[in-house]
Amino acid sequence: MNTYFWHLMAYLLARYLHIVCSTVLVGGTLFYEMIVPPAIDELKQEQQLLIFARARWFFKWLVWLSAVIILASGVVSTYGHWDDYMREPLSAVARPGWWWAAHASCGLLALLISVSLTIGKAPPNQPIRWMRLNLIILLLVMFLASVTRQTRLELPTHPVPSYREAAENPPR
Amino acid sequence: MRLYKGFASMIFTVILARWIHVVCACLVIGGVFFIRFLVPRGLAPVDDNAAREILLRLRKYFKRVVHTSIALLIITGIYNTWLAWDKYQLDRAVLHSLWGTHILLAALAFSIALYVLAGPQPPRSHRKLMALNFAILLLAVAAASSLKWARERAVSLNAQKTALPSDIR
Repeated sequence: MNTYFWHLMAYLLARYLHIVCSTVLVGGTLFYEMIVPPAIDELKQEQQLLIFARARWFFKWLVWLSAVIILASGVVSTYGHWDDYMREPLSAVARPGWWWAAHASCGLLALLISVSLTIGKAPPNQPIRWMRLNLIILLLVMFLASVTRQTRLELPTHPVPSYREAAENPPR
Repeated sequence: MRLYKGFASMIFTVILARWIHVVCACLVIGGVFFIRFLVPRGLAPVDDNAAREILLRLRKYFKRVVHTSIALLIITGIYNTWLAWDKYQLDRAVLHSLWGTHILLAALAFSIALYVLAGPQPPRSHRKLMALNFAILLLAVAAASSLKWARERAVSLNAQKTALPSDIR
């Protein structure tokens, strides 16, 4: 097993974890914010609060774990694509580095909102509105990720070392 | 100018199709995780009859999300495959096997989801099937991730082989 193999595994694993944690975070937020409230609206107020509190407690650990993994895997993926992000494209709009910066900053904002909503024993005022706002930001973050990828692929040449080349000259 | 506009609109459609595909995948995977693993824990303090009633109502709303998402996943998936089909010929052995695995796993996951959510009452084994479906969906994501990496690598290697002097500059 050479170094390139482990780099490749780290990159693929990071990408996989980044997507899985995003799916759990986005899907969970949508479920918590849009599907649970209408399903329990016939229950008494106390029972509704109890269900929300218990779901929030379990969702809290999921959000925190996802936030940590998304940040760590995002750093690994960024490291892997950094040279492409720094390259000059034909037009300024097609510069992947700028789209990456927008994706990373909006993603960080969404993670901060998610974590802050689950900190403490009681949720903040108007938690559903905050979750709705966060869901919109998360969707924007995913759109920016798609644009970043596309602009990276549209660069004039897109050099990735072949397995054989890298095996002969493993990264130091 | 017309050529540039056409190219820009094509790029926008590519980005939009990919974004819709990823968002729908998020809704399905996150929703399956939530309804299978978090909802039962959240409903623990409620009595059995009320819990079942709530679960049925959640299922009804979730069904709409899943059906819409499956339709959009299929449409955008066909479009994405059509766009990338030439690239899949660059390294057939690897790319076709990964693409086929992704499609098979997705088809299996869709079938299970449709079966579990069909009818007014869930089937007896709905918990096991939902857990199995979550695992299959994660494998489908793994296949898609690997496919994307392999496709980019194949394109890059092909570009290096057929590089023009202007590209090298």
